[in-house]
Amino acid sequence: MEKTENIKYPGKAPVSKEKLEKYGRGEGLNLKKGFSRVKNKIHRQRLRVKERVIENAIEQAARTELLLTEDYGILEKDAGETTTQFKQKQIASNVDITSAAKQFELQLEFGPYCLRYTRNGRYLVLGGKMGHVAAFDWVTKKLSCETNVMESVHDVAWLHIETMFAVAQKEWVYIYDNQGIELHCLKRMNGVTQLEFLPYHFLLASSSRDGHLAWLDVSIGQIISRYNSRLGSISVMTQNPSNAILCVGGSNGVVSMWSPNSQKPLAKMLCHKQAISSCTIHPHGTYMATSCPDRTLKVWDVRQLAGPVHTVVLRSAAQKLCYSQRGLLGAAMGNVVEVYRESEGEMTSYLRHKASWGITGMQFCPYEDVLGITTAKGFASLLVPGSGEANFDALEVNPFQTKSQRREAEVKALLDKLQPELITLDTTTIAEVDIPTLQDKIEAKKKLLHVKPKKIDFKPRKTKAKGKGGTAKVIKTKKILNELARRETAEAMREQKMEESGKKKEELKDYGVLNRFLPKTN
Amino acid sequence: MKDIDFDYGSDQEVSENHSKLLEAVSQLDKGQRVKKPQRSEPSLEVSEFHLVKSGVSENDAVGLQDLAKTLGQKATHADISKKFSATQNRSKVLAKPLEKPAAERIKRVVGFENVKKDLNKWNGIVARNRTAEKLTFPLRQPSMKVDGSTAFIQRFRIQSELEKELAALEPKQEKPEEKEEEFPLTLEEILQRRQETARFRAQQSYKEAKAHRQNKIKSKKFHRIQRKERIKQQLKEFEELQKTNPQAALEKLQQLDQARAQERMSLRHKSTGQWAKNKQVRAKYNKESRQALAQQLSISRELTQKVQKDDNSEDDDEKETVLPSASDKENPWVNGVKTQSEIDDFISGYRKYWNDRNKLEKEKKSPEETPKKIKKSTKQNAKVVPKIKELPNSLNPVEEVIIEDLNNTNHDLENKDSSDSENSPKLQINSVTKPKSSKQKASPQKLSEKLKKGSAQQTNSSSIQQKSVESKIKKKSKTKKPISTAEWSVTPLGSDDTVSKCSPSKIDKIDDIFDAMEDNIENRIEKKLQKIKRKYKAVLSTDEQPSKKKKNSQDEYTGDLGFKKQKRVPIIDERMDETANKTASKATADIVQLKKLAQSKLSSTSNTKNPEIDPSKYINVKPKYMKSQLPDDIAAGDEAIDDNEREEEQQNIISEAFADDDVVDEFRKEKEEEVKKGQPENLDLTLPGWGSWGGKNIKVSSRKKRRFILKFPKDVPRKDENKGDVIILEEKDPKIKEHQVSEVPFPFTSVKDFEASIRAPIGRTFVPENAHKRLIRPAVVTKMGQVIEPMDEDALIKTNTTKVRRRTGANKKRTATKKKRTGK
Repeated sequence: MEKTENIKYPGKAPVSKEKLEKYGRGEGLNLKKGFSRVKNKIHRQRLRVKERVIENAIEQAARTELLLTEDYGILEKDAGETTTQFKQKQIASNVDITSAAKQFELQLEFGPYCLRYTRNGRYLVLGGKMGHVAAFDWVTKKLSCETNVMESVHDVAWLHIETMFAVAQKEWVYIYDNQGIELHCLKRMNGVTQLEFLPYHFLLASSSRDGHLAWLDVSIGQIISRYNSRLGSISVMTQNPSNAILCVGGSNGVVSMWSPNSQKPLAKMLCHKQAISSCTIHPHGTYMATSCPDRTLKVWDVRQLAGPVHTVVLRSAAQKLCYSQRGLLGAAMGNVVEVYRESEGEMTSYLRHKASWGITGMQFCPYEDVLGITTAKGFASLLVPGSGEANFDALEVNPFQTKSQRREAEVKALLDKLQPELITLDTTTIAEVDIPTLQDKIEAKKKLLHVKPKKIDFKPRKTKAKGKGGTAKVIKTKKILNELARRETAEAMREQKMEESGKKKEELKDYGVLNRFLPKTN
Repeated sequence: MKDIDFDYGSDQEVSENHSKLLEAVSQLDKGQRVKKPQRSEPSLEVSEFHLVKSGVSENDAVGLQDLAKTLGQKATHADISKKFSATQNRSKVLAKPLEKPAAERIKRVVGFENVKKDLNKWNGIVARNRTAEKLTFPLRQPSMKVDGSTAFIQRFRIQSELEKELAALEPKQEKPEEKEEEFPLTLEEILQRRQETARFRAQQSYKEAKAHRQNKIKSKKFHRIQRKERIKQQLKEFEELQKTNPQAALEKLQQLDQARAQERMSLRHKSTGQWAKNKQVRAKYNKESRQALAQQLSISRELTQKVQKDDNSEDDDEKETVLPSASDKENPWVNGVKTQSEIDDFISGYRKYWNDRNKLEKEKKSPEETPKKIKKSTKQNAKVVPKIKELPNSLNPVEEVIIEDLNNTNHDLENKDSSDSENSPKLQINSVTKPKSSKQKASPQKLSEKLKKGSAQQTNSSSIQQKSVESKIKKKSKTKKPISTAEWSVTPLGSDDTVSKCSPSKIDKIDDIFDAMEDNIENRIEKKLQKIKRKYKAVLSTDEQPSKKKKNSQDEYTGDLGFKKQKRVPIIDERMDETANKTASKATADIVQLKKLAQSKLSSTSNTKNPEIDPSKYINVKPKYMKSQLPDDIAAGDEAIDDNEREEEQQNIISEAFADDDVVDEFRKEKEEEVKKGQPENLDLTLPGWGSWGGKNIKVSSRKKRRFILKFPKDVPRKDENKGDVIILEEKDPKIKEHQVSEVPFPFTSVKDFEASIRAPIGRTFVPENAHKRLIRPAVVTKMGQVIEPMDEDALIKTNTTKVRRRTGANKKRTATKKKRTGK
């Protein structure tokens, strides 16, 4: 008994506050006697117990981080070296043989290709513009099917399992199984340019040349929603994996976000001054990267719809962008692929690869350190160390799934299917009370005789966005504004000086529409 | 009286009458008294056997006791006395039994109380069961807990050497043993203790309450009495102390004295004394007493005035030019109105002083004490030119010299030359200041005129005074800003400071550089300011509004710039707030004004209307230029690039061509429209032509607007209000509504609480499996087919079956000790 005091680690190891916060769900109930609006002691105690359970769950979740044992790869440079100098060959020669086998190239004939990996990163479907469609296990290189659909292929997308994929062909969208057998022809999705599959909602979303957006529930085979977005031909579309909203890049530099529940975009962001050439969203739904023909690449905070967080001017415009699971950003410019990494709050280029043909599509393979690129003449699998998530949750997505596991997962996924109505900008909306309806109800009750309605405090829990407000923030803002004003003043002074120096700026003559041909100033 | 006349018949009658009379008298005497029930038997015979009690009062009656007295304490009568006492002993008589319903009612009440008390013992367990996270029925189950296999195996295991060492290194953690249930206190003791603590707490709270109450009493009388009591008490204690411990008493006495002194010092009683009171009474009619009172008060003020320690106090004797603050109202030097003669006197003194001083300077002697008059004069000057009355700090010698020198230049140039030739350090400094002074020289007349104008209202604007003012201004300008031919001007701060900081030896080398630099800066700034001024002249003329703050001589310099403040911009310079009394330098004020000037232009363009400004809008991330690899110009394979790609390319070209089309403005316009659409329009109730002319192009009067246009209340701000170029749809009828909860369930009465209670997901995909299981665990679990019996009293008994089991199973040693303990 005396020795108990000498024990180094009595009880469980403590969990750091940051970790707890990371897994936390925000502020809980305040059940102190004076503060709580719950008057009954017993109920208060019950709620207290519940709070304890939640806290316990959070702590457990924080503790499970210990189980994420896998390490992420990285390309380490020596002094005087840059990571960009390493060629794929060098990387392949320096990694283990299984990884080296993941670097390969396919020479294909049928025109610019598009590609798509399954969610577990095991299977790959390629669609050639000239009708070539091939699905295969790219790790073992075992071909599942290969056909020529004898029509132009615009996009391909896996459905919820690797036995089915959708192909956007010349007219309509077709669904094939892994034998290459045509299962469905979706005639209501016509003239499709882009396909996206929303795995948790079982929705196949498409955008068409005439600006239509359509969502098809593949579990029941019904079109959930289909309407004209009035954006013209849609060539850039991607999904936000965290809230299943479609982000469409417009020709006026606006990224609009669409859900099947509303015929108007839930949000619009003016991202560039020219047409958006590519748009991609981080798998965690935190950042959105957009590019534009004026060679800029911007990274936005898509949760707060704010930004840009980074603005990068490249030496040539990026046509394709894609995010890896670990947040590496791939950009394709002509026949060059560059991979950028955020380090110390800045975008730095990480890897570079030159293909022999212009790149038409690319995607980071989930759970692998692999970037797949397609060109006009084939497909190449590149090694990008540190791009994939090393710790996978086999209950969620399993790269080493067996057939029975796949079946079980399918059933479970169907049971867990989310309704399309739940697609909202803010995913936590479902945990909020519908206050307007509640108010109406209370009002109605007030009108009844002899009924005393409950006194309810309508103030919602979430009154401000995370990270907004707070005295520290306010002070920071003030500081920024002060600084800004100071700078403005300085600027004004300088301007005065400039004017004084004698150069009188002549008024810009207005040429109306032809103004755009004037030499650009500033 | 009648009775008496009439009733003198028989003895009986007499006695009867007598007793009645007595009775009546007694009744007269003592209100109503309930008489004892008496038995009266009417009898005609009069004998000792026929006792008639009615007429006999209680006191006269012969009691049994009186008779028994005769028995005495004799042993022979013991038996009788015993019997007697036995008869005298009153036996208790049972009360009459209650009516049945009443009795039952009481029974019920008592029964209820008892049952209630009895049931209270269940409170604890019921509350526990109701708040339990999980209940498994039947509630009392034998614990099936078995020791883990490792623990079990460990008992049979032989540890290897290494293991032993390891164990020794870090002893295995033993589970903290449950506290032995010992009852160091019996139930009674516990109760007693509890009572004691309760009493103690109650007393404490009473005391607190009392103290609180007493503290709140505002009555002065009460407090006086209290104080007196306290003093008495103290005195008493003191006397006691004197007897017992004279040393301590002495100390105490000292303390008391000190306290008294402090009390007196605080001057709390300055108006409470008899004299003061009398004066107060008379003050209304008597001027003298009023004066006396005022004097008294002023004395008190003087005494209580905090002595401000002047930073310059040490330098005072050296630097006469240090000016006292005009705010010092009590200062008789400042307050007194000077007569003409006095001023003349001062001027002559001043002149003399300067001469003396110059001489002294030449001799390089430490500066002497200033005559007070000069001080006075400076103060006066301060009054005339309040804005410049104070120097930021004590002047350092160099600055002083500069001032002097300037004076000299103003007075007589020859003098200056001579001083130049005579005094080498001064010469150096002069050379530093030369450019400025020369410039000032160029327009001394102008300046003085200006000053004249400025001080025209002021009394006694003699030429020399003016000069002194001038010199002061110049001095000021030396230290802070130069005065030029232009109406005002600014030099960067610190340029002179640096000079002044330099040691005299160094100055020689540097001064040329400074010369050039200063010239340069001056010219530049002058030009700039002139430009700005010219530019904003129009604005100024319209906006000009002489601010109250600047009704002093500075007005002359900056009057034309004193325009109204424009829109408030988030930058708030406190320095703008400066008044004539403040010590903030003019130069800084000018800079601020300049800033204002610049901002007034800017603010018209920037939308500062909105107080909430999103800083992110302004934080423009600087674009980073990435040195990305240039793609090869792929000579597009004929077949590779098909129509679509060509189309894309074309689009790119087009978009590049239209790059400058203002998408931004378009987007903003769109947002504005969206906002407008979201905001319901105001209700217009104006009737055209009603109370005014009707027809086309007729403006609705503002009064009508105010009265008849009902403004729609603004509700929640839009989500994208401060987001910049983002439009967020504010849906009227989102589909998610049907999935949302639209009611707040029972224990909650606030939305916030309820939302907090459902904040955490419970699905196994969100939380660890264990947590998930715990979260979805049913609150009540019943064993299939098991009869759930109501709780009996056994549930109230705290059992430690599990503990005992563990002890017996795992650790025999421990059980052994336990046994020992129990054996004891």
